[in-house]
Amino acid sequence: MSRLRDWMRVALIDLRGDLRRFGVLLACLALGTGTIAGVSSVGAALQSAIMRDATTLLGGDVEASRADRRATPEERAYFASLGQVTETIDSNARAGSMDDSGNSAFLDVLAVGDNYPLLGKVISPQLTGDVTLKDLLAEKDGAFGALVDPVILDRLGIDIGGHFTVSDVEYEARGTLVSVPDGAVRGFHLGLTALISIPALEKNPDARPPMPGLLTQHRYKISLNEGDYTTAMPLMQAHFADDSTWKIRSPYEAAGQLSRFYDLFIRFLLIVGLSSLLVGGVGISNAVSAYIGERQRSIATLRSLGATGPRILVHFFTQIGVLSLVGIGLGLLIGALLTAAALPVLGRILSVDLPPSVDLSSLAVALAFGVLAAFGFSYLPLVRARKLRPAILFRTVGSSIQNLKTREYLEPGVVLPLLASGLGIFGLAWLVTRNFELVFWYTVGVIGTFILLRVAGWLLQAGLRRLPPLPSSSWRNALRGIYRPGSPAPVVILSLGLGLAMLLLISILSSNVQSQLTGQVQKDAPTFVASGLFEDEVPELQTFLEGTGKLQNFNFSPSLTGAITKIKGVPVEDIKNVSEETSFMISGEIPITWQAVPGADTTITDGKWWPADYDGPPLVSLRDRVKADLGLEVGDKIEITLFGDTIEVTVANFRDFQFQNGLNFLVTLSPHSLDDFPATYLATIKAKEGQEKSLERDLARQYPDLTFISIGDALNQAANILSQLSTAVNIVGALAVVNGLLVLAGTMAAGRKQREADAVVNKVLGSTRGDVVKVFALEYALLGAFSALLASGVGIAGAYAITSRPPMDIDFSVDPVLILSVLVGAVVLTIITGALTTWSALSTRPAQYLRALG
Amino acid sequence: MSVPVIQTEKTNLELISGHSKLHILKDVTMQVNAGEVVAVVGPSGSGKTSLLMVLGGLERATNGKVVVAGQDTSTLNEDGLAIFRRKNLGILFQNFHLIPSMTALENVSLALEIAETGQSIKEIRQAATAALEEVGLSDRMTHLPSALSGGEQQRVGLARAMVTSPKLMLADEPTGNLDQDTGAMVIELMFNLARKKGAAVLLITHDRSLAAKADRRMTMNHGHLTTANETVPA
Repeated sequence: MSRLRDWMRVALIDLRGDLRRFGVLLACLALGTGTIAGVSSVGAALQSAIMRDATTLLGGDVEASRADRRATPEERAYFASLGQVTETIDSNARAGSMDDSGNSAFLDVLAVGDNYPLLGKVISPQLTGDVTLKDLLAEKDGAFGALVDPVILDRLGIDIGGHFTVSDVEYEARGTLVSVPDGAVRGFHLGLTALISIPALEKNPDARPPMPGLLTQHRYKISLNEGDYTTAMPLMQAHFADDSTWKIRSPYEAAGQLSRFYDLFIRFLLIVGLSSLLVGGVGISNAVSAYIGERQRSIATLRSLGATGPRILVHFFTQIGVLSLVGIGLGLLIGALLTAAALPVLGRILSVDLPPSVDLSSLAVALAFGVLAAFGFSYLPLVRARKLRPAILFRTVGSSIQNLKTREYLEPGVVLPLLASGLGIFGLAWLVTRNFELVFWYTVGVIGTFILLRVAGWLLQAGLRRLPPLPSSSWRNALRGIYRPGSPAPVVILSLGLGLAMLLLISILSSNVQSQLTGQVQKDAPTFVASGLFEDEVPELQTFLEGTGKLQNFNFSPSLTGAITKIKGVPVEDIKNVSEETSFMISGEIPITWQAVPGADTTITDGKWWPADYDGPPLVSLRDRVKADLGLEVGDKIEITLFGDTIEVTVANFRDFQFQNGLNFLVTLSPHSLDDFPATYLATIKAKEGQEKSLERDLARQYPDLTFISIGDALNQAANILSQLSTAVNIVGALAVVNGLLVLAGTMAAGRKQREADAVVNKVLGSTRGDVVKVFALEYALLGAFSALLASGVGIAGAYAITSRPPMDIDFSVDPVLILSVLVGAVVLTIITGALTTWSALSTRPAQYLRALG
Repeated sequence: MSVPVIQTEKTNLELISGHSKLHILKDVTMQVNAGEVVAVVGPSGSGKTSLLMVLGGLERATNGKVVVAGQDTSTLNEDGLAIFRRKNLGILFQNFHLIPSMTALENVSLALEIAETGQSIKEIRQAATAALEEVGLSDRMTHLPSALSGGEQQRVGLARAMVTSPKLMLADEPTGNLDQDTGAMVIELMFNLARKKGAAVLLITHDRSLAAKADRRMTMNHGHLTTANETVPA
């Protein structure tokens, strides 16, 4: 023990002196660790902020809902045992004016409990100062309070303070409603929103949705006392195992369509995290190798004085350990400071609350990875150093550290520590991502890339060696620099190739995920939906809208209501345990349409769309999500009841579409299937940006009898989230790429000693500084370009492999400008770093340098 | 009866360079006794340094017998050779090879630390201080190598080589990086110290005037030790 302490003490003495000699090693360690800490912290902060937003969006940590009834007192008590509970009831109703005008408005009723909302705020100009929502909605002088969409006031011809009725219950419009915090997850709601109290809704217990197919939902939003939805949901599901009518939702699930994009974002963060680990590891590895390389004369001196292999190992392990801890500590500090400083700025860009904070778990991951990487990546160079023979002291310039023989790699003392650190890194990545499959395939990809780059480097050297000499001496020397014995080319190709491949992977993924997200945002979501239009009213409405100059887009579709009564001969009453959307489809009368050609945003996922002039037996197109739920296949029969008649239709295809992209129906029939039934039309209207409210008022004035349902708000909220996610992807991606480039720059600088030695020899032989720098620039441009070419292939293939299959499964495209800019940036960086480090050697006088070599 | 410190018999060294085999040492047979100062001279590339490396266990002879300080070095592995060196050898290099991050005192102490003599840190420092005083560097103990002149660095190297009281001192062109006066002073110092401590010295040099100061001179030529026992005239 005391012997070990003595060995370590001498090692620490050997660390003293000019700290600048450790500059590159410390910088690489700090950058590598800082990259991991920064990306991981920013990712964690964004993820938790977006999760927090999702929780606000849901209105609680978890939600239980059912359509048929309110919770029983026992059920309520159970919810209350989990945390704070608030109840909301969604419904529809028609409001009428109190005067003789006959004005009416179709309402989307949101009835809420006294403690609503648990999270977020109801926005209303009247909710100021000490005024509470409970006060505004309370019963006063025989009238219940209501916060209403301003258009309701226009429709009913009243002002704030005016009264209206819903099924003989009197309400006073006590304010206008701008938004509710959980608006986006309430799903598709017809009507203008009116916020009332549950006691007010209870006053009219017979109230039923006047439009068939619209569901009442009783929701219980719970703010959990402890834990999050991951722990609470299984308990709740077990509690309600015998009553499948209860639907339990997490914030992610509540976000519906959005949940997929949350998942996408989180997966993207995982890949970025893994890539940052790898790029950081490459930086650490090269820094340690370069350090050992630079200390080989000291190692040889120790050997000549009689130091044994174990002593050399302990000596340099102690040094690498101390330097690693300093570098890693610096990296953690940089990562923490930058994260804390960057978060508020990112928060402002993203419009999410991101207070300056330090994520300790991210720092712990960076610390653990830094230590494991420093150990794992320094072990082999140290083992090689242990075997260094002191004969080097009697030779001149050149490396004496040789690669191990294959059988030496297999010695337990070599392979076991390496295996342990490899498994440690793998385990850590698995722990962080909680995704074994992802980490496994990522590791396989990295090992494959490693082999590819090694073989490619060897082939390049072999190929260049066989080239006839080029006429230009600069080119000749640059090529010789690549294939000469002891050339750093294989290491540069490996590090740069691996690093660049990861950066490209992130860039391509980032751009694909982003375009997937922005693609959802930019599509034309309608501002209003008009229902119950007669055939002749459609062109008239279109002409009016076009005349306002505020219209961006107008679409219409026939619509009538019908109920699916049997599926493959099974009455729908007997179908249980289906998703919410399927449950809605078979819940009773729902809107149904017919269509000759599929909508622009529709993708047929199974079967074929019918010909535009089809006039055969009725066919039906269903949303693809119901397919698995109901075990349906193309060719199966469905029975639909319309106006008391039943028709049997054959499933022709399944299709995917986004509701927010425009007009779409769960159930779409072939043309002429509904000729015998009276249909009205449903129209979607997209207002020009900023003209939504103005157009809404124009419509209310021009068509007082028609119902225009504003669906913009919920979609705007969804669009905001998509836009947030997209910007977050962009920021995290850019952060990872910039950090990665810095790590690579550090890696290039780490090999400077060898370049300095070569440069000085060239200068001694009569080359000017310009000549030498030109040769190095050419050599590094060639290596950079070669690595970049290989990295492009690996990066594109990797990104394709990740995006093209579940769980990510998004459209894949490669932006050549993006790839070119990352590659050109990397090559330029390589040349500049190479040239700068060479230039520093050239600035010293050769004699001075050559003496120092001793 | 003289005790041999170095004994070689038909020692050969062959190295592979690219695709060709170089025969560096050819049937070298020699003996150096305890306390004897021997110089090996010869032109560049004659194999002088290779001989020194083989004797120091820094390079393995291809065949033949190499016994140094009574130890057949061919039977030792790398770590065994390291232990052998720290117990028996002191090496002086042309390029000094001091550890740049350590002071003169620490560089000398390092040899004792590695030798694992069982001394305390205080005893090691005292011994290293004494060694530096013997080479006239008592006022340079806390200086880093970069703050020392070439002659001073080589004297630190000499103190480091001698502090463990080796049986054999191997010196490879120790004056090659020094001016003539300083070189002569270092050689004088080395010979005196070696004689005082009873250590044998094998000096590799191409400077015949320095070689003339040795007890005996050998000449290497094309890998052959042509004159193995030439006594220097008094």
